[in-house]
Amino acid sequence: MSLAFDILLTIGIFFTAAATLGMRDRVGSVVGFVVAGLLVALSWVRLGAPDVALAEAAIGAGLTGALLLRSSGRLKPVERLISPPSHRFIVALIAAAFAGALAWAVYTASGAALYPALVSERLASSGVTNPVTAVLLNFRAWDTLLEIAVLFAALILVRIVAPAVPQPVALGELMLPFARIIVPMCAFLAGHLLWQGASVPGGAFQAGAMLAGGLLVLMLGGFAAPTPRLMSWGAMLALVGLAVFSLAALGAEVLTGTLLLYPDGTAKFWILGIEAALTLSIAAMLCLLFCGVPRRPLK
Amino acid sequence: MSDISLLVLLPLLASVGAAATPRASELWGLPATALTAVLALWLTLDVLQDGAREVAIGGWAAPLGIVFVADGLAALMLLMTSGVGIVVAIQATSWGVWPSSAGSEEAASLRAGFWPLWLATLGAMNALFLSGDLFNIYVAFEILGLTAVGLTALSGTRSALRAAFDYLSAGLAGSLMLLLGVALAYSAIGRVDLEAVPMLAETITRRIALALLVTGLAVKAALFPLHFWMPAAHSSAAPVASALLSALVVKGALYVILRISIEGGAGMEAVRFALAIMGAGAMLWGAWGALRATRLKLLVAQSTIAQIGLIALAIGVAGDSLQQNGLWQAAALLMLSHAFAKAAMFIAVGRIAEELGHDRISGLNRKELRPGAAEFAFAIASVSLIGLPPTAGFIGKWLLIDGLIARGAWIWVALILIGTALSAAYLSRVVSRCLRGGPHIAASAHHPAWSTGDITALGLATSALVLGLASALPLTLLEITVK
Amino acid sequence: MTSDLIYICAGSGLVGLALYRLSTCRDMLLRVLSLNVLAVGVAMLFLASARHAGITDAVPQAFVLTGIVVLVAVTAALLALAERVDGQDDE
Repeated sequence: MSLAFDILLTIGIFFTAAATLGMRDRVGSVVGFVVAGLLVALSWVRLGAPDVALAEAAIGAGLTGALLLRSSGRLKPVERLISPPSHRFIVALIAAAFAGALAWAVYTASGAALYPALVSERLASSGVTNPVTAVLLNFRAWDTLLEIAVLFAALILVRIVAPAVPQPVALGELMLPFARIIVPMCAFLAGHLLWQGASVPGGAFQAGAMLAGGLLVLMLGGFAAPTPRLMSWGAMLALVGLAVFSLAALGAEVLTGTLLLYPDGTAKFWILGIEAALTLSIAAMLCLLFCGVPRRPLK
Repeated sequence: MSDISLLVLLPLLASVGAAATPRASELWGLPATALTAVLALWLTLDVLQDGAREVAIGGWAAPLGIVFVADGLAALMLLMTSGVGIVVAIQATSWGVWPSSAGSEEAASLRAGFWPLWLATLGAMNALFLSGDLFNIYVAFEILGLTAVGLTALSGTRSALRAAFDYLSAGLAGSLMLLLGVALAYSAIGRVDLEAVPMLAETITRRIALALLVTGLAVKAALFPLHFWMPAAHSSAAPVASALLSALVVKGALYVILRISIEGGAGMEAVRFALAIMGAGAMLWGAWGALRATRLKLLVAQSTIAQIGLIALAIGVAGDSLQQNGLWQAAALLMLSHAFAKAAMFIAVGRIAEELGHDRISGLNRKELRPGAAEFAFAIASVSLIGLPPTAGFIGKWLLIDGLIARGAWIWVALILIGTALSAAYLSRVVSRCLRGGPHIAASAHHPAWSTGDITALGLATSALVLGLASALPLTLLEITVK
Repeated sequence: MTSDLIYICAGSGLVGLALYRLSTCRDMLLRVLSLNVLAVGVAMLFLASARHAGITDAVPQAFVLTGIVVLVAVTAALLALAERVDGQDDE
């Protein structure tokens, strides 16, 4: 039964992805991408990774889909410069051969399971009970810090390139009732995901994405216009995440002598504090990636 | 607070500060770069005294946690980045970032963009050099990719933006190939730290993982034939940005290839051979492109491709690090000398273009201008790139050729000599035109006025010269490894 | 065990599809889409090899999560650049 479901799901993912990449209509491609993203989130659940499924749905399908839709409206219509059929055929053969070799390599790999034992041994001393949160914010917190730096670097780049800020248009009467339900729900869910991330699937990234979604509904529905002042506040909030995380890492080093080593027994509070700052900051960063970063007047 | 963590976090925090206060971004930029240079020096002295260091972040040992590895090679790379970086940063302060008569507002906005990008680049490169974990290296590369593209897009011209898009999409494709290699490595051996790399050379499936890692890194290092994104990006960026891109950013990927090659041991011969072949191809292709180039910046960018090929060749023929110690050290030395020489070259080219008003090679000898300091800087940098004594480029090539002759690998020696001759050819295209004296110069010809660009370019070029004389120090440093 | 094989095949298939499209199509938006599909394929390979005796290994989950966030950042940057490039072409 579950095997049949898996087969159907993967076939669905593959064909949606193929349709996305093969369609002429830009909006159709993006819609296909969002649908594929949601199916992929389902497959993460099937593979036993609910944290990842939440993030994929919110960020991978949701926010990326929003970004792509914004761009598809602004880019010129598709004038596809596709290579001639003979070239395509050869490339298709090579790609298929590569995919086959890849599948064979992964399937026959023996894969000694090192990490699970290491994680479960150390989980008790990590301050949280959700192993993914423990890995993200304690065992491999350095990766997460650099990841926030990636978001920061993207924001600098977006500021320099300065695409146009989306101007919201009147979306009709149902927008207000919709926003009245969705926005508070997003805020509430964000807080809930943040809090519960310590013990069950959830965490700062999923909460931040949820909050960003609510903020975008506010902006696109015309309830909060993207004024320069508002966006400067957002920019400051976006910078706070990396600053807080770096300072916390250095602070922990001052206290215990090793980078990112939380003092004994207080790991839980450090993690929650960093995660709270990260949630707000990630929400701001994701919103700004969508809206464009304000360029402050320099004179 | 230890020097290792500050080497990464200080530039990143300064970058946040510079981004938050665009009007005062230099005030964050210069001191932070200087402080990072001091920290790199401190770390190097520490390594020279006490040997290599490994620090487990958060107290969690590998493979679960991430380990900082500070050995001789890492220290050398850190010094290289800080050293070139601080000179380029000095250039960026007084020159602005745009060598034209642009109004001060445009220059101000360019400076406001440059400093956060440069500081984030510095932090990301330091994180890369010190990292002992493959996934961590992937994340650091993502930061580096975005900041490098930002530096490319800084000038805002249409060609720069298009080149930036191609650079970023090629960079992302390379990163994803790298990530695919990490995924395969994880499925094969269950861990992704650098210490596990020797295990990747054992069976065929594991070697596929290794091949994918190196392919992704080759895209990021602009190694032929995966270099297609590079000439446009490096030649359409502002001179300061091009200097950073060619001198430093590509070295990150080359460093990781070198590190994997050193860790990988004997089983990696097939991958090394492929690297050597690609390197030889790059040397010839880059030289061909440089000989045909009509614009100065494109010539210098093509020369970078050729030099990257030489470095890849050096890594490829180095062989197992346990047997022949000399050859991979040649690769590291070549990276170092190329960084200084190439940065000098791009800044000099920027100055030349500023004085002449264009950067066409055919129009380089003008009757009313005598050669200025920038042309001399270009000439000295050329000497290092070609590999003439007493520059560091010469020492690197000499170590390489010496080692190859000792092994009887005559074909590689011949290829290197051909590459050297070709680089002399295309660089002399420029140097001979720039430094022409003689009767056709008008009597009223004047030297161009001195500016910061001349000083910084000369400084970098002379460093490349002096490094050759002082090359014993880098070589001793490189001998300090963790094992 | 076999369900892992299904996801391994799907992941590899997505990687192959994305690489094919990357090599044959020049359109900027489609390149961004292909890169996203490539990332999904790699993630699927990670997670399909992460199942050990019914439990999914936490470390690859963290890897994939980090990868998702990194990818959205780079996608946003790519799209910003694409919009500026295309906009300038109009002038």
